[in-house]
Amino acid sequence: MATLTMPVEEKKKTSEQEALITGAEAIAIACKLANVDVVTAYPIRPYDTVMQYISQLVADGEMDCEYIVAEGEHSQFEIVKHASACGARVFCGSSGVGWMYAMEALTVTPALRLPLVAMVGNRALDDPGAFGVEHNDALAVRDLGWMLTWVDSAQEALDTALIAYRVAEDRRMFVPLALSCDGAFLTHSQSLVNIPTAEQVKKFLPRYDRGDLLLHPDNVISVAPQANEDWVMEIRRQNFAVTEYACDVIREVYADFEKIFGRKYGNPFFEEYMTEDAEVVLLGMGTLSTPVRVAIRKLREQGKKVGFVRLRWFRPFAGPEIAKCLERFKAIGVIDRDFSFGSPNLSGVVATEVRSAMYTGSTARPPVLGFICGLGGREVTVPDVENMTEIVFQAAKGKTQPWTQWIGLRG
Amino acid sequence: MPELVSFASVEKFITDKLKNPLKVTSARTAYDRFTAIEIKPGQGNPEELFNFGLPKWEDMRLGVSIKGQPQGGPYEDPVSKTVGGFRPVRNELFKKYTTRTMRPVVNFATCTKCTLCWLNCPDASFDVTPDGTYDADLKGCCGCGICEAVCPVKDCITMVNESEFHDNDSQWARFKQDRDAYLQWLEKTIEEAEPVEKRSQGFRYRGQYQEQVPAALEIANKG
Amino acid sequence: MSTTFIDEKPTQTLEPFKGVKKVPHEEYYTAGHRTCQGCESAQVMKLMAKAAGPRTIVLGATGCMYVANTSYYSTPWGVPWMHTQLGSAGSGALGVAAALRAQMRKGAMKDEPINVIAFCGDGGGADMGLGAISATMTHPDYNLLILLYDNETYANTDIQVSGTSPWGANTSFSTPGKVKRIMHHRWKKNVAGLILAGHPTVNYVGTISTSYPLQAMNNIRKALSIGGPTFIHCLNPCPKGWDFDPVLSFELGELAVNTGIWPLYEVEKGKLKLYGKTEQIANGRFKRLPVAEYLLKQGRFAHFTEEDIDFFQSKVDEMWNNWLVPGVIPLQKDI
Repeated sequence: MATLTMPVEEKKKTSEQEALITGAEAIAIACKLANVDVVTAYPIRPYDTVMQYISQLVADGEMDCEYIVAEGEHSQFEIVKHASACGARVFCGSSGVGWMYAMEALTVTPALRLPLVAMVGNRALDDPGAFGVEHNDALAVRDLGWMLTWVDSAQEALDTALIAYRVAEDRRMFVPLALSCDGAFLTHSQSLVNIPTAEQVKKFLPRYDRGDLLLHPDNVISVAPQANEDWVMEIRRQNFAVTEYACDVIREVYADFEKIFGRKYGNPFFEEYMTEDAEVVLLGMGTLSTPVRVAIRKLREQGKKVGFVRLRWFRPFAGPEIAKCLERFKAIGVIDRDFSFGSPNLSGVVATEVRSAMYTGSTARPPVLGFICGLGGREVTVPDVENMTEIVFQAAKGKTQPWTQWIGLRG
Repeated sequence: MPELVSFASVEKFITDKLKNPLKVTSARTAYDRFTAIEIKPGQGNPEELFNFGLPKWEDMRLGVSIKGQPQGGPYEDPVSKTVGGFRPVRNELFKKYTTRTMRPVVNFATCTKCTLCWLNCPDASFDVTPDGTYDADLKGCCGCGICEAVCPVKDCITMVNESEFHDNDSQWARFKQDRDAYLQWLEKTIEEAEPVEKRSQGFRYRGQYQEQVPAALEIANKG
Repeated sequence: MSTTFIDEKPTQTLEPFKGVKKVPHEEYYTAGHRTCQGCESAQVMKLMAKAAGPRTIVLGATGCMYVANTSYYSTPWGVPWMHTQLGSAGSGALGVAAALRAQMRKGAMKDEPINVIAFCGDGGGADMGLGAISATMTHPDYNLLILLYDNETYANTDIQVSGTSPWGANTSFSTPGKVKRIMHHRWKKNVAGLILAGHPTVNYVGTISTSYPLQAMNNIRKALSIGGPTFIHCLNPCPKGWDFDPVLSFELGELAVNTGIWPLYEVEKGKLKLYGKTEQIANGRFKRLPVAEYLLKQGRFAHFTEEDIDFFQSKVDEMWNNWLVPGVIPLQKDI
């Protein structure tokens, strides 16, 4: 049975539709509501159903945009990058190695301060491949200036897509955002979604205004002349400045979202589940939240005091808030649906970042264990979660080695 | 000229390390062609090449963007004060004149206003004068010689050695101020100029390498 | 909407310049860039910008015309210009054209025809970005021009061989040596021919030369006025890469055409026209000069033996005598 991800306080009576749709379709609808101008499509599973939905919306006259089928992901992302520079609201997306094929374009998009919203249907990189979920694709841009967020329900996907446009296109920001939806588990599974009205979206989302950065004959500028060592550091520092206040902008936008749409997300950066009196917590991103919550309820019935923190925003990484949240627990187990070969303690990306945040954000030193789980679309099962919880409880008692374990692995 | 390293050492290095006798001859040819000019304090071109500070990151425009160049327009004849012609706005932050080894000198009296020098200059380094003739902008000109090559009038544009000059002043302005003096100076300058055949600016005619290479190799193998 | 579902937008009406004295003085690519002395690639930038005029957006793919032209904090461009990636001239141009269309249709931007030009070098256009250019050529609704400036190498990275480097040329990736005199034994790619043969809905494909500047500018104006995606390939002598005194830059452009090595032609809505000296060669009014006249004025061919020159000549002769359309379609005549 589908689990609602946040408490629905009251349903808006103002003609909000309710529909049973997939994560991909939810994002397609968000693009329609956001009145996106240019969309580029290229087939790769599992994100590409969003482009199929958009195609139908355009053909049925429900969405007015330039819908271009590119001949490769590199071109796909280059087209929208330049469209954005010329003032168009753009949408794009990819998965797995497709996202990697676009990497040159992805690298320069944040540096040029272009607010592209991209959907990543997280997929294992092939080779060895699989169409199922692995987070390494989206995570690959984490150092480059992209905002990164993970959602775990179609409702959250739709809402976050609208929030993404508002945040990315804020003049203070002007950086791209990759909205990650676990491949298959979110992109292709359906749940009930409240679809906002066009009026609500109009109130929430102003027009994209590039101002004096617009590429247009009335504004003669040269964008991205080649810089050298006299300039690169300062240019990068400008991008850096965004990260210093990005969290504030995000908080502002979520507060406005709640006012207009009535859905309360609370803390934008992460969601806590049964953490009030928890002794240990698990932490993770994306749709693994479903089996984790089921397992936690089961464990609670057995008297085990365990909770779950679901990270929404990976970039910007709300380090101080995470540290403040986690410091009170006896031990933390971070579930990485990704890998990071050769990393400290051989942990996944999220575990390494959490440890780093804790190191500077708190003097408390609860052990932070890392779990590698669910790669390539392998289910994170309820027994897996029970297993991880037990390991974390042992860590709370002092058994912290090994720091990283592979869960659900044969062998 | 201060010799930090003797040429003999350079030759030895090329022979020992690069083991290429042809390169030895090339080096010697280049060395022999080299002329040094002594400049005393106060001599030379006093113009400031460019002047800009390196701004702080907070003061730089966002999105790796900078303002483009505005459009130029007509300008004033220094003598008659009539306004006409066209002088483009040129990039103040990059002037190529310091790389120039030759500059074009122009005969405004014989110019037929054919436009070819102005049209074919890759560096937009000609002003259209109010008279309709073409004046080389010596701040931007890098001395390629295309103007001389395309000009259909004999001795109308001649490339001459840059080392004689210590300023980038407009030749047309000088011509307008004293036509006769300018034309006299021009005649003398052209007479003393090196012809195309003798210039050392790269490969110029069919068979040049064929001529030079065996001769150069011979010299290298002998010495 | 018509049965073709092609939604055309009007272009600017750019009439041809009626002679060199009618060429406007305004420079939209002005002086003050780091190109070499005698750089014909810079010259085509100047001609292109002059031909296009102020209502233009230019994208510049990585290459000499990016690195040597636009060094941060300074620019020679008097029209809006943006860098794009080495292989992205095609995709970038499409993005700009799409953004303008969408915003004009939605009333978010004043509806007016704006020229969209993306330039690329032979490295970016004939090699890496060929796929993107090809895809863009299939989109009939977008008005844009891709200008490929061909200096026959990856010039900016220190003169390396590219898909359009001529047979046998000495480049830093095809150095003549003791055992292999000819390292680059591939024949030059016929890019314009590839584009026109492979994309039947393109309205304009052509070749130009900076040594025929008036025609070059007028062809650019034609391409910008005709509608849909268009492609122009220009040959640009490069003193550094080809090894010659820059005073010869203009002359070498002429020689390339007069030896028949670089044919000048344009295809306007399927109708082919050879022009300039190329036309005269085709109808016998001008005898092609021997290729040695052109080759031996450049240091990059200085290692050529008589056999090499003869081989090169034979390939050019083949192009003129045996091809279905000389310089354009390399199919044997008797089909």
